[in-house]
Amino acid sequence: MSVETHLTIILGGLLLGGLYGLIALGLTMVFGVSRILNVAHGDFVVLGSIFGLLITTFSGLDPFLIIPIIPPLFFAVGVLFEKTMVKRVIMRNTENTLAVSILATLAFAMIVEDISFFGLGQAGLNYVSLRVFLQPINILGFIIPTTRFISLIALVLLAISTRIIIQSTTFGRRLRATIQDRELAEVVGVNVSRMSALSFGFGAALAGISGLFLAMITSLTPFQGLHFTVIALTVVILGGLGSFIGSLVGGLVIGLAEAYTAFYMGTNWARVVAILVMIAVLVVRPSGIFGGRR
Amino acid sequence: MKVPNNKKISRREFLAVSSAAAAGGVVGGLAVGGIAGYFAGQSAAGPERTITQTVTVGGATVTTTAVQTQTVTRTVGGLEDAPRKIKIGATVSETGILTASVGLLGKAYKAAEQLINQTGGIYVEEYGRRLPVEIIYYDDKSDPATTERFYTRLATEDQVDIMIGPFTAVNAIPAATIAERFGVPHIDGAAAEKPIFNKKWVVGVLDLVEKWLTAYFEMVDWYRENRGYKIETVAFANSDEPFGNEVSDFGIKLAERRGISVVGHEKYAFDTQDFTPIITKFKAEDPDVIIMTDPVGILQAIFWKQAFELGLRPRDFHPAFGLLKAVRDAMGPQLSDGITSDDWMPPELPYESDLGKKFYEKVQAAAGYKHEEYPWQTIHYACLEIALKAVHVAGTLDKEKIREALYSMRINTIGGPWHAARPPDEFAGRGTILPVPIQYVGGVKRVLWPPELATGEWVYPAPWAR
Repeated sequence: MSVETHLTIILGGLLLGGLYGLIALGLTMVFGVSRILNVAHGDFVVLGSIFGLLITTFSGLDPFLIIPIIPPLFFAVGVLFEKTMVKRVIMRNTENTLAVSILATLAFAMIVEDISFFGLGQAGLNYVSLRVFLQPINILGFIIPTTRFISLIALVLLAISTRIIIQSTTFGRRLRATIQDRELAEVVGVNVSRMSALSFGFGAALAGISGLFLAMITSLTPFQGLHFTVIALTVVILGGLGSFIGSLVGGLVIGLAEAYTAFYMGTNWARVVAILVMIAVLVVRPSGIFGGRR
Repeated sequence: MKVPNNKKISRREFLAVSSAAAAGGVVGGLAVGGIAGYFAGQSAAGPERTITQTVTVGGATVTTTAVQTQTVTRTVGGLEDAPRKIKIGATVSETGILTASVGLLGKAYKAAEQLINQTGGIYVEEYGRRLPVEIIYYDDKSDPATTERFYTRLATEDQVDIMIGPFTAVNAIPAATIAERFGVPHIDGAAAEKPIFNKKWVVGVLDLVEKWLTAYFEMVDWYRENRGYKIETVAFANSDEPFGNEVSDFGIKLAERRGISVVGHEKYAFDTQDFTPIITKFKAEDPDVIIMTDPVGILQAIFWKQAFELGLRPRDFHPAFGLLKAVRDAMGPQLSDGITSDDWMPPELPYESDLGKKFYEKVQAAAGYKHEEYPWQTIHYACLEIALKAVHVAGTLDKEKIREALYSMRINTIGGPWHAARPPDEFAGRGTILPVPIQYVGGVKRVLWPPELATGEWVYPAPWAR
């Protein structure tokens, strides 16, 4: 197999893995702060792609130009979700919040998926894919797919920005404090309720922008939300709950594993890899790769 | 080979053409009269009589002879007081992943129903009068389980007289099984996989789907021999389900018989998002032709978009559903120009049916689509033509008699002459219609094959590969 073939697979795997990492980071952040397992998290990814498609279709804007629009938009959607679904539905039952959160968000996911499916179906858009076509770059004889390359750079910048926000800002410090010990954080003056809303907003923003990138390089269907939630859970389990680095590394591992499995065994087998990795990690190291360092 | 040109025609040629047209017009007029009898329906077949008519056009005299069936009027009443309706059942993928292919078929069915009833319904001899048509259809959501449930309902609760199959194998196979179980005459539409046939109650409008690429490879032969096209390697990609597998597996045999090397054969699921692994493999082999088959269509656009991004440039890309406007729109003009594909029953073909092309144009106008936007719907429309004719030929709504009519009759559909293969054919019930290869050049469709129907030459290599 040629070097170029490996480069293509690795680039695709890194890009997909990086996006998995960002999606997982949002999920782990929400769970860490509010102890709510948002099963509908993957649907924010799909919604990100749908919004991207709608905005580009109606405005005629290039998909790359709407990158700055999606995060604030989905931040607002996430906060709204927390204020309504979480506060008014899930938190009303304080006895068994985790179980209620799973059921309620699953129901929400199903509603969103059916509405998206119906809405897109009426428009004949059952596969969400943004029409981006840039001629590949030829560097020293290697063909580099431009859209993926630009997306990867944007993703790296996004990951660095997220890292800075979490590590170096007041919001980040409060967020980490809440994840580590919710009660103690509240005692020292952190507005935990506010942090919960912000974490939902932040998580949805990461999921939404990931969906936009995914629609630029691949395609999505309205029913893939749960798939992305499962992938995110796998990445969280692999990387370690609440770990930023763990999420990114876990995402890259899953992305590369999927890419190579699809190449050698066929695309049908790629989905199985994530599940096998999750089972293996749960058996060998339940706390995940970076779980012990928290 | 017939290739379009803009050559001016002489007066002599014009007169020859006009004379022939006049003759055709007279014969056609008589045929239309017969059709009017069939649909106006207040008639019973009587003794035949020969009509000889002479017309003069532009100084040339043309004599035509045609046989017309004498009609006897037996007016019983309007459609509103008909003793019953001819109930035709079907499902349509109005939602789900197959919407892009047949999303407006339900509207087409209802438009056809309305137009047929406006024309006077269908004459059924047993009732001695015309009967209205009612087409009952449900949205199968592109889902086999839902399809199975609705065909069961059509057979049991709705008690339809005849059924038209749903779109594509994953739905058509269970639908045919239901028809067989409940003994309802069933006309399979845009699906012709082997498991559908060799049943008592099922016939299909199309020949076996595995023959999909037969005409394409015949065309390859001709162009290799006569134009020196260099086509030595081919790669196949298909969805891992009956339709994709049958087309690719037989296509591989067709290629190998011609000494064309098959350098790749990859399968994928309907929910595949990323085709990078397949594209990477194909790129390493650099095939002259890539043939991609799945019933979703839009996946072919997604593949092609990703293939372009990754620098894969075959000399011909032949997506099975590249004809679909939705697929070409998803590719964009730059990527779709030059692709080849296959069309079924394109309006460019010179076939006429009992209902006629004009009637189908009215159906399309009422349902809001054109053939190029939903070509598979034309196949299902041909099923309707066959269903109505079968009832008329049977002269009754007795299911066994309709079944016999389906197996015995030979008719012209909008897609060409049709009959069902009879036992002992291994796939009894299969139809006769096959696709024709086409290509989009500069946004305009050309029929490439067979030579007598071709409207343009095959541009190879495609523009992107130069």
